[in-house]
Amino acid sequence: MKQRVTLNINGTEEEVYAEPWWSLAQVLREEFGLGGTKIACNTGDCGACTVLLDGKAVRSCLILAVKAQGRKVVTIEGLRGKDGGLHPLQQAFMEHFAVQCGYCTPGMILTAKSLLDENPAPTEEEVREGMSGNLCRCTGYAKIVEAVMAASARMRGEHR
Amino acid sequence: MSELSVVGKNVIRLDALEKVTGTALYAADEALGEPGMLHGKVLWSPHAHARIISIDISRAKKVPGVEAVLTGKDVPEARVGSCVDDQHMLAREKVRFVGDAVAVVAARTLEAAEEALALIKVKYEVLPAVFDAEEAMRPDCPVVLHPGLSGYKRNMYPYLGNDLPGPNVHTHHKVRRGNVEEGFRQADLIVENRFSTARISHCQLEPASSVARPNVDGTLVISTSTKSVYTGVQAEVCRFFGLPPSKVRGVTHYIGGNFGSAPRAHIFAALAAIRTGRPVKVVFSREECFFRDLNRLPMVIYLKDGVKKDGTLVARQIKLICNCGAYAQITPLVIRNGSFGSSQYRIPNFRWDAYGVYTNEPPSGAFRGFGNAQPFWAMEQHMDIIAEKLRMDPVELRQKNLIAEGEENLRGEKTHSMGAAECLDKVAQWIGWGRPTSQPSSNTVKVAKGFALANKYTQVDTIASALVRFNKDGFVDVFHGSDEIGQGSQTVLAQIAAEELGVPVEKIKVIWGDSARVPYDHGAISSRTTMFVGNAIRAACQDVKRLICATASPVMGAAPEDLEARGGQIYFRSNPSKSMPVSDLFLPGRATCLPHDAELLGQGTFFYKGYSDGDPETGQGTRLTASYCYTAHAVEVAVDTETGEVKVLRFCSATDVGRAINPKLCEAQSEGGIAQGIGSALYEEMLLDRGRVLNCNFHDYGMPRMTELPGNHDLKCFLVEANHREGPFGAKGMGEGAMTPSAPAIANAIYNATGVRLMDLPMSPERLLRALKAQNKEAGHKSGPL
Repeated sequence: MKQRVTLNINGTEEEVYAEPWWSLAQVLREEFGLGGTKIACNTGDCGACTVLLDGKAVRSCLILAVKAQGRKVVTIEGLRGKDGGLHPLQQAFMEHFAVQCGYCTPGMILTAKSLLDENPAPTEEEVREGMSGNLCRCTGYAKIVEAVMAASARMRGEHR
Repeated sequence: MSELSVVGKNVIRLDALEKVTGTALYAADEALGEPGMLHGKVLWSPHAHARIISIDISRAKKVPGVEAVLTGKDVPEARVGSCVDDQHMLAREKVRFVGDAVAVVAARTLEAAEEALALIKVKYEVLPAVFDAEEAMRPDCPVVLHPGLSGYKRNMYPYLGNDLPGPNVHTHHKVRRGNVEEGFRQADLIVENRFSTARISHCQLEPASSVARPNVDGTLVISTSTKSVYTGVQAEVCRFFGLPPSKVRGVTHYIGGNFGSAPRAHIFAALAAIRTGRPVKVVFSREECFFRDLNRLPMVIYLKDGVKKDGTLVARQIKLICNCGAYAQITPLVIRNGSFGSSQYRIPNFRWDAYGVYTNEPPSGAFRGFGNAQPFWAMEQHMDIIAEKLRMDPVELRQKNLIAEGEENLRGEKTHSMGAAECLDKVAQWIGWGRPTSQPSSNTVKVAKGFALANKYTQVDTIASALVRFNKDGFVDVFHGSDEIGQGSQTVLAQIAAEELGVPVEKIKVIWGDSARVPYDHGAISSRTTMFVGNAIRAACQDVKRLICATASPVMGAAPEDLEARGGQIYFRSNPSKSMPVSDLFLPGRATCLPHDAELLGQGTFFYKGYSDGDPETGQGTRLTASYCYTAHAVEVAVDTETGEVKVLRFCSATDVGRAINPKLCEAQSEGGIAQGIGSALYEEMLLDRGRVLNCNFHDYGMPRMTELPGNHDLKCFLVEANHREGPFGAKGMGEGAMTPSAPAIANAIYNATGVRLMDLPMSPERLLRALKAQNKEAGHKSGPL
């Protein structure tokens, strides 16, 4: 039987009735139309469905929606600043050609956000290690790593 | 070409903003939570080969919410296929692989569809099956997949061949040049080996997805994650259902990666939508993507080369046995086009026999490189083997045999836009060929370099059309029918239009992905979009400029040929300081001008005249391909001889792109190709147990992750620009060439590190350890494994 779940999505209090087996990814997509959260493997292996749950990057395909009760979810749609401007990571992914087909991109950006929140000045190796749970089939990762490093510098005030 | 202002610039991708904000729409994102949408699920065969005795759908139909349960009885009786009509979209009598489609359920919820699927009872009589292509190819193979093959319609391609050696062989493609027996007699050295490649999966991140919507007027609107809105969507649905193109509207959104994949969720969505009259969405699970997508065609390759002492290649004989799986699909074309790669060297005597064989494995198809990476796996290792035996430098051996600009290649084509020599030099220099490795070898970790040279042709027999609309606000709409599969084609095409029209690229809007709204194109295949669609768009831009000048002629009091349209202005050729804005042509009240809100439309089409399919007996022809993109890869690897693990330390590529319309996008393709190349070389293989895929998920299938690639300082991608006279601004396709040489380059490096020559893909730790063990056993013998 469907259960009532209240959660904060991208700063707005929301309510939804979800079957107990529905994943958070499924609910974000099908019930809230937040298609930026991608489902690619549905087994937690690729990171395309990554969202921030209470600020930490999680795989929303592995979390039941009912378990998100009362928690804060940020999806790619909620990453832009209050002024509507792009997050430095979004800007860097554009400028450094870190986007190809784009299907891994939201998960990559949110994983990078979580990584930089914990470690604002990572080395390239730390970025690669920290993001190795996110698969991309198009880019070979070089430009994604470059973009994360550039965003990190920009967020620390070192413009480049 | 020095005054180019947009071509050659790193214009930021037009789709980047949508993609970084999560607003880009993909087929899987269509109809999210849409009320009234039915969900389709497919029942797959659990057997590799079986006769269907009966199917009981009575319980499945009773599940609440189920709208349709369809089986082989509900599909057209005629078989269909890409090259051979050998398949029913739902099995009618027999299933031929684990994953053959048996039934489709459409229901109001996914849960109901899944419940109904589980209640379908199919009785099978399990039949003996064959999985090995060499076994299946034998004339006396007891298992025959398609006993009716001789009566099947074999479409489109005359090069399927007629002298088929066994009942499971659907294709025999031949190339003949000179006389190989005579060539081998002249040779001072003959090298002969057997190689094999693995079945690998595209693993594009977007799962196969499709939404089919029947319109009240009888038209089916079908969107899908498959590339090629005309050929891959519209034409295919028409072929499967016997519908005219006017009744099928193909739609594509952004596509979440492709690499040649064709999983065809749209066929099942279309079937359920036609039978129910309701919109139906089908999304494959990742597991389904693995066995339903047409994986990279595995080949067994017997290669025999003859060379003179000085390194001159005199003869090459190559026999390929291709495990096509249960249905031919597009494999006859993959097999035929896989032969083009060999034309990069001057080989006077050449013989190629490639066989397409049915087995009870999941069907194969196109994969980045379209049949070329597999022969290169063998051919580019042979070049190193030959060089070592002749004590020649392998770079020099390749340079010596490379075909030259203007020279006739072994297929009879005149070579043009030949940047291979420069590619080789660039990678050899960067990797430091002949110089010490970046780190020394230890007792257990051996470090060495290796390289390979390969190419990828672009198909010649396709057509592209484009429309260009010059709007009164100075913006330009470009309409074309190729797809955005991630390669960045929309950006490149906008740059071509901007350059031709002399307007800023920000003023170009590119419209694509709907067969009802954009002109015909063959699609995002064969690395063709930049060249074919780029040329069509250029022609359309030239057409609209002619129209602008003709319209302005009476207003400006000059003959059209004395005017020039550029950058939104119309200039007098004799006095470029005098001009009129194009937007003035739209001003109301000017009787001689355009009526208000009228349009300035230009059209263009590009195709090759006088190309040929090649002689079916010899494969010879004067124009078989549009262009060749050459790529050299050089790597440095560290091989742990205790664990068998190979780490790629440094990687360099050089790709001849003709001209880089957007260098960063070319570089991005090169980097992606390297990652797939490393994956195919070291990790990737669909593991099959009697036809069943064992590792059909991203956990067990070894796609490279960030940590498996060299760091950014140890990675370099060069672009070489051997301008192509027929390409837009000299450009040619390059997306597929990006991975063709990776696996042999890594194999050559592993050999140089360990003395072990691996001939089967992937070069997994298990294989490498086994080979090292065998090498140790032979330690008494002086020679290596060859």
